[in-house]
Amino acid sequence: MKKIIFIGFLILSIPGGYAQDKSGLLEEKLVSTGFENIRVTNIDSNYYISFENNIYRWNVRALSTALDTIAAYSPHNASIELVQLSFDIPQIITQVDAISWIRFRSDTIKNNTIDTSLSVSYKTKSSWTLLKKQKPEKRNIARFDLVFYPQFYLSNLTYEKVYEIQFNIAPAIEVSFWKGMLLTAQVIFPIYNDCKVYGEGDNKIRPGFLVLTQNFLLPGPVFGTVSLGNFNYDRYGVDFKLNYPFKNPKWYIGMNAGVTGYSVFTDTGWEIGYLNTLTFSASAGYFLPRFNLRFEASAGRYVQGDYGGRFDLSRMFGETTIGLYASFTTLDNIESGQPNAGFHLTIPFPPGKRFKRRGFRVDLPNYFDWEYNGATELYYGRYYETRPNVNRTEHYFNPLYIKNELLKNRHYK
Amino acid sequence: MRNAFFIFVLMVCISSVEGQALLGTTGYLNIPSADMMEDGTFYFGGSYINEAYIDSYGGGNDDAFTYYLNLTFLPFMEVSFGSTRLLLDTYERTTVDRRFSFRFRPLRERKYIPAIVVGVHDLYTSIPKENETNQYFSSIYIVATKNIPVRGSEFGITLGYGARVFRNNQFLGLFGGVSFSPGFYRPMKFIAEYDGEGINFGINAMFFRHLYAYVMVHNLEYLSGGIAYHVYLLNNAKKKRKAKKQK
Repeated sequence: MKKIIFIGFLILSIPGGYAQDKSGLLEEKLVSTGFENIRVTNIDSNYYISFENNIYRWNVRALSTALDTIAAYSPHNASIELVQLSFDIPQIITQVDAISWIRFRSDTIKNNTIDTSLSVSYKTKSSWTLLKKQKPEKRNIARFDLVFYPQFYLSNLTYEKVYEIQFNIAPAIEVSFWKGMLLTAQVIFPIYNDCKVYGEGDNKIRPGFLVLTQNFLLPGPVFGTVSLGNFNYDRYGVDFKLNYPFKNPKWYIGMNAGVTGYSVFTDTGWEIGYLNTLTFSASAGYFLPRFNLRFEASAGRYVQGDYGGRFDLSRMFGETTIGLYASFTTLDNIESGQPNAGFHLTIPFPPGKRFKRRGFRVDLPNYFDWEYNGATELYYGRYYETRPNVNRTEHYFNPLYIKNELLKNRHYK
Repeated sequence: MRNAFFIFVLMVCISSVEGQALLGTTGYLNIPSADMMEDGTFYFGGSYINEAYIDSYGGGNDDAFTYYLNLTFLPFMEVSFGSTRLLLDTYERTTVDRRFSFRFRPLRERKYIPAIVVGVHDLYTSIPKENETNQYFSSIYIVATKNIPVRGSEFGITLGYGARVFRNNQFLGLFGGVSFSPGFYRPMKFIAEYDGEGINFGINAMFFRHLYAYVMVHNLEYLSGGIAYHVYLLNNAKKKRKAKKQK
């Protein structure tokens, strides 16, 4: 009965009439849902739309909701080309007919039928060329987020205690002032710290990430990021990242390079070292859609000047990502090298839908990520991070993963 | 009365459940079995271990507590991490002994064919070979399990072999066991097993689909037990139930 009402509602809400008249209404509906950077245009029955999600925790749910709205407020013969943005930069495009999407969501067609009419890919160029000329509705610019990040460390290094614990709350202001830009300013408030071996001095209120990040897109597509500021692992400097997904989206390669120096907050002030440490890495990955399984191998030069490699095997269980890794680093004075292994997890933080962003929003992070380091190695084989929310789910826009999850979650509301 | 009935219905609304052994890997009581949890099942829990069971760790003078995480990472692969700490420690040491374990299932259970699993527990140590080992729970084994449904109940039989590879080997030579899940409450199992050293009896049960508990008697003498909480990351069980309902 519920299903019939849902189908009825969707069909009744499909308006007839002229397509041009509907663009404004569609735009309004997407704005009222809470999406940002909305652009809508159409050529005959082809609807080109872009949106940015800063309201739903999971991009798949955001995409699903956006498609529901678009399918309901566009003509029934509309062909939808939906570009998903991040900091107003196109990431992926989803192409589907409005009627196929409605039927899929109302359970009247099978997964293998929608499989052929639904496409998710990195090929955003032609649609984005049409859309980018438009002024977006509800821009993501100058909207301040105050995000309360929890930080939790456990270490088993002494005979006196089973585990040493450190727990901090690290609120961060995150705001964008222009396309692709993100400013992060974080302060760490220690709540509990009994770490004696590493982290004894972490009892002070201190700055965390103070970073200016610029995201950009090069032809290819090559997704790039430049970050400048104070990172974690006591580093400051500049960092540069590129990521290139191949035409077959199962494969991708990436590179990262940075020049950093020592940066630590002490009783006497902020101590800053020379900007003279070069780090770099190259990585290659493969995504196995059958299991949402990602293989990634990387090699490079780490923060302590050691060289090494790491192999990661991560599986995405919907919104939760759990992975295993093995790594190896070499130093001139350690002949045998340093093997290490462990696991990492990224788990979602409730709620699934956040408050709409107006001028200022207080929020929790979308995900909590944690890594277990088997050899308790805190110096070698390590890179710094440039943002507090670097994890394996939040910024992951692999089209195969997105499509898999769209198909699996056809009843997701 | 209505509440009690509701709780009972909730408990019974679960189909059979795979058991897990003392150290957190899927198995009977102490021995591993070739059963494997549903894809994406994650659980964490802890067990109290009687001192008589762990003579290799702490010289058999102290009881121990072990806690663990286990994940069916792929439908045919299970990974587990655990730590054991001696209780009533006579030394001023509170360190834990960690272990990583992996299990692979090359053959899934079919109508007439048992499932086969190859497993390696506590496989890595950073201590050089010439020193005393800290691999107290290591083992490498192959095990087969067949479950036979009989009028709503289920009988299980497991037979395995542990090889001498590590300096300590938890399972050496032949081990095996039998299990019985009664039709009136399939998430419960009565188990008898031989772990290569002695005979153990015990019972395990799953409550409310998430809470798992078990108790066992080692060598018919020493009591051990534990609890765990299960999370289904792929939520397959819910989907399967829904599909079954629709059919």
